[in-house]
Amino acid sequence: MPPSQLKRLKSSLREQGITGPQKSKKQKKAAKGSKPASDRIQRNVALQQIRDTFNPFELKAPSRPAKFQHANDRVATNGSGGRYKDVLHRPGVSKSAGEEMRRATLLPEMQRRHKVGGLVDRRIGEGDPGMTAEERAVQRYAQEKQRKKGASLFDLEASDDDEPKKIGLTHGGKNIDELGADDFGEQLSGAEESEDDGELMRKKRRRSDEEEEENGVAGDEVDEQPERKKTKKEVMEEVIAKSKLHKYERQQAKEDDDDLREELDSGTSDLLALIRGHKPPPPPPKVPEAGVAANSDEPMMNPERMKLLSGMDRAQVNKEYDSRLRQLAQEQRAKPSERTKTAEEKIQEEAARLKELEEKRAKMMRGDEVSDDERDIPQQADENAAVDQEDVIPDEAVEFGFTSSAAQPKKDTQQLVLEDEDEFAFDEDLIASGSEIDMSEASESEQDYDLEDEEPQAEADEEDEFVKGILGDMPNGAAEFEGQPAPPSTPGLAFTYPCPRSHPELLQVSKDSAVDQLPTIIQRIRALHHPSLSADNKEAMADFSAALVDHLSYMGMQKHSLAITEQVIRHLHSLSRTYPETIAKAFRSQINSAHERKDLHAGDLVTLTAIGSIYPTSDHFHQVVTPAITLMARWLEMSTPNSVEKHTSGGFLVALCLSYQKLSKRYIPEAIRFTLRALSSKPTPSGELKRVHLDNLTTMANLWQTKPAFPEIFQPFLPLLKTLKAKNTHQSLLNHLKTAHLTRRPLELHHHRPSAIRTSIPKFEEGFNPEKHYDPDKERSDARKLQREYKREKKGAVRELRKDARFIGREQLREKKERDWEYERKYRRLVAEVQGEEGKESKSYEREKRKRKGGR
Amino acid sequence: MPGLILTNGDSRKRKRTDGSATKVNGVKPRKASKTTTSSENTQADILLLEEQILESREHYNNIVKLQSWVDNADKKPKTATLAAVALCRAFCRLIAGEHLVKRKEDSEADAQVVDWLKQRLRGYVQSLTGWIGSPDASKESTALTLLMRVVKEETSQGAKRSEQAWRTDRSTFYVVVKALLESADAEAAREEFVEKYVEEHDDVRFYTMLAIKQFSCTAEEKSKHCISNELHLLSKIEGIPDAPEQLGDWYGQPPSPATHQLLSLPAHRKVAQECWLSIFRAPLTIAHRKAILNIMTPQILLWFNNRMEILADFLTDSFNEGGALSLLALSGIFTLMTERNLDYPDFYTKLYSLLDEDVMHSKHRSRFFKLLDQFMNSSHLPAALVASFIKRLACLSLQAPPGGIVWVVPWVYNMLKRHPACTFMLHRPYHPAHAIYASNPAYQENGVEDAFKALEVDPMHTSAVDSSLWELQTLTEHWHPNVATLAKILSEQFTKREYLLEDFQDHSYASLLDAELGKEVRKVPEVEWEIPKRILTEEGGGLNGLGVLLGRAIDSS
Repeated sequence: MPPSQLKRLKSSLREQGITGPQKSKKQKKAAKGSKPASDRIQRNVALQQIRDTFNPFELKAPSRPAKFQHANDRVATNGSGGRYKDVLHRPGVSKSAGEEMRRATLLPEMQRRHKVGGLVDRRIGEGDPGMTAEERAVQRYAQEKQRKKGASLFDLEASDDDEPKKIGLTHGGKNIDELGADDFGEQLSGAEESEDDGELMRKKRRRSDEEEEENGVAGDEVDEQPERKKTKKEVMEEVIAKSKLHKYERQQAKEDDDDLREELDSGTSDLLALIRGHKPPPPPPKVPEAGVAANSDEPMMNPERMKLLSGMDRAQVNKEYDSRLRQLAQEQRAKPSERTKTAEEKIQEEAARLKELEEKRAKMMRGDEVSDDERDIPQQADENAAVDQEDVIPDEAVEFGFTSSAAQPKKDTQQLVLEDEDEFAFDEDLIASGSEIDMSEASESEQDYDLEDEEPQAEADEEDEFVKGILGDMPNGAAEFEGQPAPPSTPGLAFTYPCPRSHPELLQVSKDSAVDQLPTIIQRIRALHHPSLSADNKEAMADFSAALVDHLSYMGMQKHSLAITEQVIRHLHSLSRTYPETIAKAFRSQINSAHERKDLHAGDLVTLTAIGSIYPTSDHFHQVVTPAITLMARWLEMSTPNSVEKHTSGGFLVALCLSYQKLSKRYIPEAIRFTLRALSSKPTPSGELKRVHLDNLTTMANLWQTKPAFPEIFQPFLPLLKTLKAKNTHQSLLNHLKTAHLTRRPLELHHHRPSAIRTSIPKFEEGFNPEKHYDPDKERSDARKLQREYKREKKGAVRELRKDARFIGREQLREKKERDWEYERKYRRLVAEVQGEEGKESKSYEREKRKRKGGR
Repeated sequence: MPGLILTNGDSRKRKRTDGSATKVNGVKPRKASKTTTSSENTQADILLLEEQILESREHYNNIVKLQSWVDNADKKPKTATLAAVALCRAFCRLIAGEHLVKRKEDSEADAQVVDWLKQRLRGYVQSLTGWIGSPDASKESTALTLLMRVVKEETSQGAKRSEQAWRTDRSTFYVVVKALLESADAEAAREEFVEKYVEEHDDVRFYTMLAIKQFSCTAEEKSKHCISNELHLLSKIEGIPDAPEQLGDWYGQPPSPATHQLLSLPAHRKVAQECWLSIFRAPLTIAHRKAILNIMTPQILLWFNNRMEILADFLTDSFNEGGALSLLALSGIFTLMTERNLDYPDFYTKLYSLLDEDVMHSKHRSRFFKLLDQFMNSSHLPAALVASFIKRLACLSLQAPPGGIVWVVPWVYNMLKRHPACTFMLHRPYHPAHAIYASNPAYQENGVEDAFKALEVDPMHTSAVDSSLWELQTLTEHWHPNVATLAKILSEQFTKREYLLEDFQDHSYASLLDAELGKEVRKVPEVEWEIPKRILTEEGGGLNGLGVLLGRAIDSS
C-alpha cells in the first residue's frame, strides 16, 4: 500500500530540497545574501512539478493535434518543430482563466447593456484584461515621458530648465557632434544617463526581492528579471576581437623593436668609431657600397641582380621572381619538326584514312548513327500531340516518321524554325568572336573529331586543285588543272568578275563568254573572292554557290555540254564542303519546286545527278538525298512508259536510282515496276531503248542478288525476256534465280528471348495503422484535413459561446439572488420594525392597562 | 390558241360570254400597250380576270386569255408568273367546286364545258411542266409548287377520284413526275420535289415510286439521262419507313379503309422493290452502278428486307463488271452477310481475286485497304485463308509505292497477332513436321521450294501458311528510311497489341516529300568526302554510261 498523500508530499518536498531541517538564523542570513535568482526559479519549477504529480487531473494531454496544424505545417517542421506538442493542457487552470476572462470582458459589457452614456475610461490598458497592472503602469509612464519630450522639443520656455537639448548641425539625420571620433564619449554619457535609471530600478528591485525572501513565497515571474546574459555569439565575437587586437599589438611591438634594432645597427659603426676614438672612413660611392654590402653578405651575389634588388622592395622582387619562373615553366619547348614520311608510310596513312571514312559511311548507311533531326521528328511530333490534344491517341505512324503534312501544325514548324535560327545565331557569334577558323573546318570537326588532323589537309589539297593558279602563279596552275580546256589565254575573258550573288547575276556575268568557259569563270570568281581574302567574301561565296545550284538546272534546260556540267558539279562539290548548308538548302528548294511541278524536266535530271555525286547516297537518311530519291521514285511510279521520251528519261532515272544504291544496295520497288512496264509496253521498245532497260535489269539483278525475295522480284521478267528474245539477259537472270533458290531458307526472324510476364507487386505499408489515412492524393487529404480543422474550430467556437451563455445566466441569477436578498432584508427589516413598534405599542398598552388597573 | 368552241344553242349566254371576252380582248391590247411599263395594271387585270372566272362560267374564256400570257413566258416572265398563279388558283377553286366533274344529271352542254375545262387544265399543266428544267430557278420552283397545288386539289376529291388522280398516266401527278424524270437539268426541281413532298408525305412517295416504275416500263427509248434522273431522284429519298406507325402523313385524301394499301408497310416495300427492280433491269452504265452501290447500304437495303437474293444478284453482276465497282459490290455483299445473314460462300474467293497488281496503284487504294481490313477483321477466319491474303499482299508490295507498303506492314502485323498460326510465316525453325522441311529434305544444300501457289484462285488452297514472308524481309532494305524502319517491326518482338491502321492509310509520295521538305535543315548535311574525277565523262573523252543516258534524256525532253 502506497504511503499517504501527506507523507508523499513531505518526502518529495524534502527530496527537492525545498524543505529541510530547521536553519539557524545565521545560516539563513548567509543563504539570503548569496541566493542567486536562478535558484529561486528552479525552486518554483520544482514546486510546480510536485503540484502536477500530486494532482494528475490538473493536467491533460491534448486529445487532438494542435490547432491550425495544417496551416502551420511548414513552421512546425523547420527548426522550432513541435511548438505545440509538448504543451500539456490544464483544464482547471484554463477554466478558471476563462472564467476570469469573462468576468473581465463579458461582465462589464453585460452590465453596460441597455445603458446610454456614461464614462469611458480612456487610460492606457484600462479596458484590457490582458494587461497586468504593472505593464499598464510602465506604458503610462512611457507615454507620459514621450509626451513631455515631444512637447519640449519646440517648447522654448521649457527648454531652459530641462536638460540642454543639442540643436545644431546634423548629417544624415544625426547630430554632427555624434559623428566624429567623439562617439566614444557620447556613448559613455548615454551610459551614465541610463545608469541613473538603472540604479533606481535596481534598488527598487532589490527591495522587492528582499520582501519576497522574507515572505518565503515563490515570486511571480513578472517582477523577476535577471540581467540579460550575453549570448554565446557575442561572447565569442568579443574573444576573437580581443585576440586579434592582442596579435596586432604584438606585431606592432615587434616591428617597433626591429626598427629600433636596425637604427641601432646602422649606428654601430659610428658608435664603434666613437668608442675606438678614430674617425670612420668617408662614405664610399654607391657601387662600392654595394660591394661592401655584398661582402658583408655570405653568399656572393650577381651585382646586376643586386642592383635590381637594391631598387625594389623585397616582396616585389620575390613576386617578380615567381612570375618569371612560371613563365619559364610554361614556355613551349621547341618541338622536333615532323619527320618526312616515306612513301610507304604515306600510303599506309592514306589507307587508314580511307578505311576510317569507309567505316563511317557504313555506319551512316546502317543508320546506326541516327542523325539528330531524324530522331527529333517523332519526339517533336509526340510532344505536339501531347501538348495540343492530350486525350487524343498519338498517331502511331508518326513513330516511324510518317508525318502527314496536314497533321503537322504549321505553327510548330515555325517555332522550330525560330529555335533553329537562335541556335544558328549563337553559333555564328561563337565563330565570329573566335579565331579565324574556316567554316568548313569548324563544321567538319564537329562531326569527325578524330579526322581533324588529316581532313583539312586533304581538303586544302583538293581545293587547291580548283583555285590554284590564280592565287599563286596563275597561268601555269590553270594550265595544269586537268581535264579543263586550257583557259588562261582565252581572249575576251576578263580576269576579274564581281561575285554573282544570285542566278540572274550569274547569267549576267557569263552571258558574254562562251558556254565552255564557265568553269574558268567559276574558277576565277572563286579565286578572286576566296573567303581568306575578305570577311564579306564568305557570305558572297555562299550565295554564289546557291546560284550555281540554280544554274545547274538551267544548264540542263539549255542542254549545255555535259562535260561542262560535270565541271560545274565538281566545283559545287568542292564548294559544298565550305558551304554545306547553303548548298543543301538550294538543292532542297530545287527538289521542292520539282515536287510542286509534279514532273521532272531536263534541269531536274541534271540536279538529281549532281546530288548523287555530291552527297553520300548510301546514308540511311540524308536531308538532300532522301527527298531526291523520293522524287525519282514518284516519277517512276506515276508515269507510264508510253512514249520515247518517257522511256529515255525513265531509263535514265532507273539507272540513276541504281547508281544511288550502288553501295547500300537498297531495294527500289518503283524501279522494278517501271522496268517491267517498260519492257512489256506496247509497242515493244526499239533496240536502243530495250537495251537500256535490259541493262538496268541486269544491274538490278546483280545489285539485289542477296535479297531474300529475289525470286519473287525477278520471276515476272522471265516470260517477258523470252518474248523479247533477250537471250543473254534471260540466261543470266536464270542463273541468278538458280543461285537464289539454292540460298533460300524459311525465315527465322523471331529468335528473341521470350519476354517475361509482367509482375505487379501490391504496395504494402510498413507498420500499417488503421486509424491513419493513407490517401495518396495529396490534395484530397489536405482538403479533408482542413475540413476537419474547420469543424473542430466551429465546435470550439460553439462551446465558447455556450460557456458565455452559461456565464451570463449565472451572473443574472446571482444578480437576481442579490436583488431578492436585498428585498428580503428590507422586508424583514420592515416587518421587524413594524413588529417592534407593535410590540412597543402593546407593551405601552399593557403598561397603560396595568396602570389603569393599578390606578383603579 | 383554241377559242371556246361551243355549238350549243344557248346563244344569249354565249353572246354575253363572247361579248365579255371580246370586251376584254378589246380592252386588253390597248391596255397592254400602255401597261407594259406599269405592272400594277397588269396585275390588277389578272386579278380581275381571275375573279370573273370564279364568278360565273360566262367568263371561262378568261382562262384562255390567261393561258396565252402564261405561254408568253419568254417575253414577259413576270406577267406569266402572275397569270400562272392566278390560273392555278382558279383551277383549284374549280376543282374544289367540282366543276371539272361530269355528273349524270348534267346536260350535254355542261358536259362539254367540263371537257373543255379539262382540256384547258391539261394545257395549263403541260405549259407549266415546260417550265421545269428551265435555268430560272424561281420559275422552276413556282411551276413545281403550282403543279403540286393542283395535284393536291385533284387528289383530295374523294376516294375513287383521288386514286385516279394519283395513278393514271394522264393525271397531273404523273405528268409532273415524268417531267421531272425527263428533263435533264431539273436537279433543283427534283431535289425540291423530294424534299418538300416525297419526304414529307407517304402517299406522294408511294405514288412517285409507282410512277417511276410505270415510267421505266413504258418508255422504250429510255436514254441514259432518264436513268440518271431516276437514280438522282431515288437517291434523294432518305426517309424510309420501317414500321407501319410511321405511315401517317398524307398529301391528298387520307386513305379511308384500314385495309387500304397505303396503310400497309409491305405494300410500300413492294412498290419500292418493283421500282428499284425496274431500274436494275435497265441498261446501266458503270457510273449508274456506282451511284446505286453508293446508296446501297443506307437506302436500298432497307426496302429489300425480305428479298435479299435480288440484291445479291445485282451485286454479283456489279462485281463481275470489275474495277472499282467490284469493291463496292463486295462491300454491299459484306453488309448483307453480316447484317442480313446472307449466305455467300464465294465471298473471300472474290475478295482474293481483287488483289491484283493494280490494287496498290489505284486511286482507291486507301478505301480498298479500309474495306479489306474490315472484311478480314474476324478472328474466326481460317489461318490458311488469312495466310493467303498476307502472302498475296506481301508479293504485291514488292512493286508497291511506299504509301501501300506502309499500310501493308502494320496490317500484316495485326493479322499475325490475331492469327498466331500464321506467325510461322515469319519464324519457322527446323522441325521435321513442317511441310516445307518435309518436302525439302536436303534444304541445307538445295534450298527450299516455295510452297505458295501464286496462281491458285481459292485462298484456302494456296498453302501460303507453309511459305515465308521473304518479301517483307526484303522491304527492310527499302530505299526510304522510314519504310525500312517500319518493315523491321515484323522481325522484332510482337509486344504491341495492335497498330491503328488509320494512321498508316493516307501516305503518299507527296506527303513524304512535304514532311521532309517542310522541315528546316538543322544539322549540317554530310558531303561525300571524295570529289570524283569523272561523273558523266570517261577517261578518254566522251560520256560514260550514265552520261549517255542523261544526254539522251535531256535531248529527248
